[in-house]
Amino acid sequence: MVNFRRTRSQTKSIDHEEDDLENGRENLNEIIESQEIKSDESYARKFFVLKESILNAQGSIVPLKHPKFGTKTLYFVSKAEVCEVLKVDDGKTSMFYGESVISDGSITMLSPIHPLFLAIPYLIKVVKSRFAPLDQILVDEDFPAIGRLAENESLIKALAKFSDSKELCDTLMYRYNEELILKWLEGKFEVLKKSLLEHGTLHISIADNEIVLRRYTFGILADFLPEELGLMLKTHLDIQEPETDSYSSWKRKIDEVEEDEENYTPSPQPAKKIVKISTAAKKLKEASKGTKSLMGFFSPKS
Amino acid sequence: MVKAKFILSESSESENFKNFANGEPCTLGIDEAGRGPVLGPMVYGCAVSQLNQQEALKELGVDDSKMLTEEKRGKIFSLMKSDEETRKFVAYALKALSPRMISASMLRRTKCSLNELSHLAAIELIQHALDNGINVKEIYVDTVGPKATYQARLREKFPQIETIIVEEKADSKFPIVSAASIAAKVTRDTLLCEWKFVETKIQVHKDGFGSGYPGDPLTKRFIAETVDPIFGFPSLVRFSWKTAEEIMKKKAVKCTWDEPGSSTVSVSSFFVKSGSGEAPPIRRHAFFNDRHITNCTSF
Repeated sequence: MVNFRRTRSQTKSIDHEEDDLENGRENLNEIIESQEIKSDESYARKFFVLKESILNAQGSIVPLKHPKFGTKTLYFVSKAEVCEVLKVDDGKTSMFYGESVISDGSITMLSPIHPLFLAIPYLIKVVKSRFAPLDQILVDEDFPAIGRLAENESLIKALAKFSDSKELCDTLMYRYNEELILKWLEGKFEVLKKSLLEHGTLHISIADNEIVLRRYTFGILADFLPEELGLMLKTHLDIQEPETDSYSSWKRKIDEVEEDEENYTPSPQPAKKIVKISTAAKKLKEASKGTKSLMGFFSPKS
Repeated sequence: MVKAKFILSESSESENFKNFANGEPCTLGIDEAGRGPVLGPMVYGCAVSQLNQQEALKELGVDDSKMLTEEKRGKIFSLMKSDEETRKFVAYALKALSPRMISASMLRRTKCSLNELSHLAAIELIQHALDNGINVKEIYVDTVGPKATYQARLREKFPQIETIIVEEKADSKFPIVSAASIAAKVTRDTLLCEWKFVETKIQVHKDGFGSGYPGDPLTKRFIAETVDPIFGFPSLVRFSWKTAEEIMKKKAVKCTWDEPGSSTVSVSSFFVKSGSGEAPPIRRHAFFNDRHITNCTSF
């Protein structure tokens, strides 16, 4: 730890004391910028969060097609488990470790995902109107690893219930059934909603409002579905979009409740302009609805 | 969900709080102490007294608590705490919100403003009184934020209570609120006086750290002297206060604050130069963005 040696006695005025410390602090920033301080590389580590059962599972990390975006995404695949490989990184976290600091405090998380999510795009593509066995459905020359899911126990179990299946010459064959898949998704929706309430540390504006909560839950689930199927599910679950009216009344409510705390000085309210916003900005707003950015109407440092 | 210990507030109450007045109809008052200071806890107080004992309450000297001297307040609170006669007609309960808890709440991802913290503390105290078998007929609260919304919120939460009044300067209008105010103030003063620093090597100037208010030069000096360039302030300091931030800007290593209203991903990242052959980055639902979670595309 850098030491700030006091060069003046404490009888000096307060302002001078502040200058002293300021000079010391400038030195510290200089030292940091010159990169004289280096972490001990022998302490370098990467951080992972995953279920214990995965440590022992025979599997590997493979690239697969993202069910919604269609882009190359990494997943962990074993016979029993499939996980998304996620990174938790706010760009500013470091970890203390031993006598050193690990600058990159980001965490890689293996998050379990039901393999049916990954299989759905292939079901839609290959067996919408015919039957075929799993190893002929899960075929992709860009992402060959998808074939490994053909042996996945959870997937086979789910397909038995949520698709049309028949046996032909000792081979199980499947056909995509939209109704049944929607039913499966409905079940997932309910489980997710309950879990969010219990563990999601949601903002009260989401947790306390059933309509907002449903929309929020659906939004998360839609992250795993091809666009069309997502829209179908939205109708199926009767997810309501906010009307522009209710959004601005919600905004007004927030302005009312959140007042300046430290020094109460009444501030003039700016006239609410109606501004035309671009589709991209609208999408951004939509995605951030009900989350912390809305609560930013008050500032803790005003 | 397990909560960090410092996030919870500390509660205490007078010995006669439980089943106070044995079911006789009571009035309940709520006030706070230490809202504005940058040092120390904010204490929420609730006082209860029988409806037919209001004269006795007034005779106790619970006037506008701000008009009383520190000594007088201390004496009254002593009586409330230990005097047998006084305890026949008044009881109290308190909630102390630590500086760490206040600051963490105001700065966390799902922010809880100071007003919201205050409302929640009041609601918890009222519920605590009801849970302790006190027959609350009237509630008087000193307002925090707009009083109409606060009053409506309390009435919705406690529909069974006949009278709920939220007012400015309630401590000078209603003796029971004044009693609550005295309990809160004296308790906060004591907590501040007896503060034990968790941090080692905190050297407080011989003149002390003053009143704790941001305008007090002794307080300012204390904050400036005890700030660590990397670890920030001792836990006595409300680091969400503007005063604290100003000092950090000058005396601590450069850091970025989470500005309210800022998005975690720039809009431009949506767009890919046409013909670049790159797939646009995956843009997930706000749930994931708020928690800085993204899919890995390479290892």
